[in-house]
Amino acid sequence: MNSVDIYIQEVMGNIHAPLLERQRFEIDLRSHLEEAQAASEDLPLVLNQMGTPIEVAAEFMAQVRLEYAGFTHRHGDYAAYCWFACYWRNHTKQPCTPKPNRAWLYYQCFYHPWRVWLRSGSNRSHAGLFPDTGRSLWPNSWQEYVKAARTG
Amino acid sequence: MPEKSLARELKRGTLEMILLKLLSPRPMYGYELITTLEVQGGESFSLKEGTLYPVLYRLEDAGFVDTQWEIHDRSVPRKYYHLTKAGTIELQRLINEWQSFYGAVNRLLEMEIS
Repeated sequence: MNSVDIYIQEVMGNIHAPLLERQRFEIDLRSHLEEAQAASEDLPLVLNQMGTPIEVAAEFMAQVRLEYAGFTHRHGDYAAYCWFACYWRNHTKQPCTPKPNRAWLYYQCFYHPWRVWLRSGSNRSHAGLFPDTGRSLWPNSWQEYVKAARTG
Repeated sequence: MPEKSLARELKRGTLEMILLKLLSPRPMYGYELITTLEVQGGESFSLKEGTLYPVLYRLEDAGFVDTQWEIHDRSVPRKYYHLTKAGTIELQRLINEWQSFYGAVNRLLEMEIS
């Protein structure tokens, strides 16, 4: 591992973004360093001109937009669902014990993420994702709802 | 307030416009953009080279520039940035905005306060 690799590793270690954006930045940095090295051949000077890994990573992170995951919206939907379930069960003289059913789980796990993705436009890579890992937010909610469904 | 904060803020505010302007006559790659900025802009526009790419990504994501990898006679592949039609419109808008702002600042500075 040479100085360029170490430098890039340090920059990328401070970047929390989806994988594709990380890769794009890494490729550009590497290409730029190769170009600069070919022009000046003085690696310490080239690395100094690049800026510290923290500076470079901070500039990159400043333009990463975090998408709203829609928790308020989904909890509002859930409250409406609970109200409707109570109303319906009272109306039909059944005990009011609202719990997520399969349709609700389907909505939370598939339909709603899809809708968020559609709404996210050109910034889709961030939609509903943890920016650092690219991991979906939805399994957490899904697990909560499955647990609620199981325990009643 | 730090001594050079105005210059830094002005550079930050105008960098996108400057980059669009540099790309308007012909496509350029990252290293070429940096060296042109240093040669033409001098000390005022010297910036840490690694911080250029996030700005270019902003322009690319907004659709103002497009990119293309090219390999010429050398083995190092270069990513060329070129201005799109939307970028040309945005550049004109930014120039108008800058000139309007520049004029207003000058008027205010030349104003005699009684």
